[in-house]
Amino acid sequence: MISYRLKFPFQHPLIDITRLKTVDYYIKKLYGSEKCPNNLKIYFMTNEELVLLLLACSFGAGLLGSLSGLGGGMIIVPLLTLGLGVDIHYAIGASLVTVIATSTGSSVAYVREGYSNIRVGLLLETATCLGALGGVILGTHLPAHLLFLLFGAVLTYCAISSFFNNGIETQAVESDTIATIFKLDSTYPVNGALSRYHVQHVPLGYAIMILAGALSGILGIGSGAFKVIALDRVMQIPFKVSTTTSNFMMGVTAAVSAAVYFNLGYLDPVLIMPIIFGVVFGSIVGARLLPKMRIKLLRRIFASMLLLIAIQMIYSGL
Amino acid sequence: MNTTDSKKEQMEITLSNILRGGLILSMLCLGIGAIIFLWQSGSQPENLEIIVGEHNHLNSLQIVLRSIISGDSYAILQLGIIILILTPVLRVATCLWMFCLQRDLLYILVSSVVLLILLTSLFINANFGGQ
Repeated sequence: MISYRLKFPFQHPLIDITRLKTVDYYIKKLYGSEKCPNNLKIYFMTNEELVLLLLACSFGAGLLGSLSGLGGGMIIVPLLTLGLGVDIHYAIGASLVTVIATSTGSSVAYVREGYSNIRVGLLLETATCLGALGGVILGTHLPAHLLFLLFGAVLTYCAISSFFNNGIETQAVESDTIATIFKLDSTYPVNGALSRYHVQHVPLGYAIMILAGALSGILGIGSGAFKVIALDRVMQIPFKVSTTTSNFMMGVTAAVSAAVYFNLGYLDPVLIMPIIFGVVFGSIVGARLLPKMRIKLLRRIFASMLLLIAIQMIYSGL
Repeated sequence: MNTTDSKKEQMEITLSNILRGGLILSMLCLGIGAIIFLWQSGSQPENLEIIVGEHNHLNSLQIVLRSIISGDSYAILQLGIIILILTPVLRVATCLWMFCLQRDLLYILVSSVVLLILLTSLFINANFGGQ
């Protein structure tokens, strides 16, 4: 297995960042099996340029992730693999650590304000963590092209489903037996007063969470879209509680996978450091901008962009 | 406000503080590491070492701590990443402790299961000898 990490030679200092092919040329040149074409000039970035480039790119990814509501992880992996030619396992590792950082950062406020349901979070974390453990063991053994295909498919699904994002909310008035045993019903603040809600269909929600955890482990995404489906549509938890609880769970789920990637040596600090700062800063700016924007139009534009990225991912996997 | 609500609030504030502490500590390490890294080797070209089946050697806490003492900026960055990964683990451990205080048997069990999976992943080497 050949992994080239942090090697971003340019074809030309000013023009485009190399694709996988040119790195392959370089490998062949080094190992002497094929001659490097004469017109190919390879320029190596300094560490400063590398950090700045990653910082700028991941700021954009964080901004896009926060404005589209899909999270930075969905964009970081295609950015690193398609854009910068990083080995997909290193890209997934970097994305996982970023997911922990953004989840922890936003949970600080959401948990304190009483939106996240800690009991629901903990109960479902048993599902997502188990899924993530299975997923990460599978993911580290899958060949790269399968990961590209799967990532493309999941990204396509998320992009299409955000087109049809209708905010119909159904709320149950009666308690469910399993929810009562696990004391899941709780309250959350609405306009200054506490509003009570009842959790429904726990087993189905639990099953979807195992799947969401597995996808998170395989692809290094937060899989917030799937978690919100389970919490919001199936378990009929209010939207604001669903998104914040999903966010709360994401950190623990990603920590399971990130620990395995760490042990395998796939976490590269020089790659990850600028990405964390960029994505965290990008999502803070995104959250500030969000109320001032025309959400519907914005969502449509981002969804179309994501669809293009998804097609590119699938194409690279074929 | 009744007792269960005040208990809920108490727990939320503690958990929020733990998450904030972990995040600040980790960002501090990453920030300091970044400054030292750019100071020492900012203008050097990114090394071209094409790695064949070789991974980051800084993959255990002992190695990272030993490297920090010898002044390796990579290791300070890596410590920041370790703290970030351990923050959710500490959060779950705190949940377990708080449910112990409340004598909530069911949730002691639930948080123990989550903690067990987390600890398994911290010590697992998913490579299974293959490479």
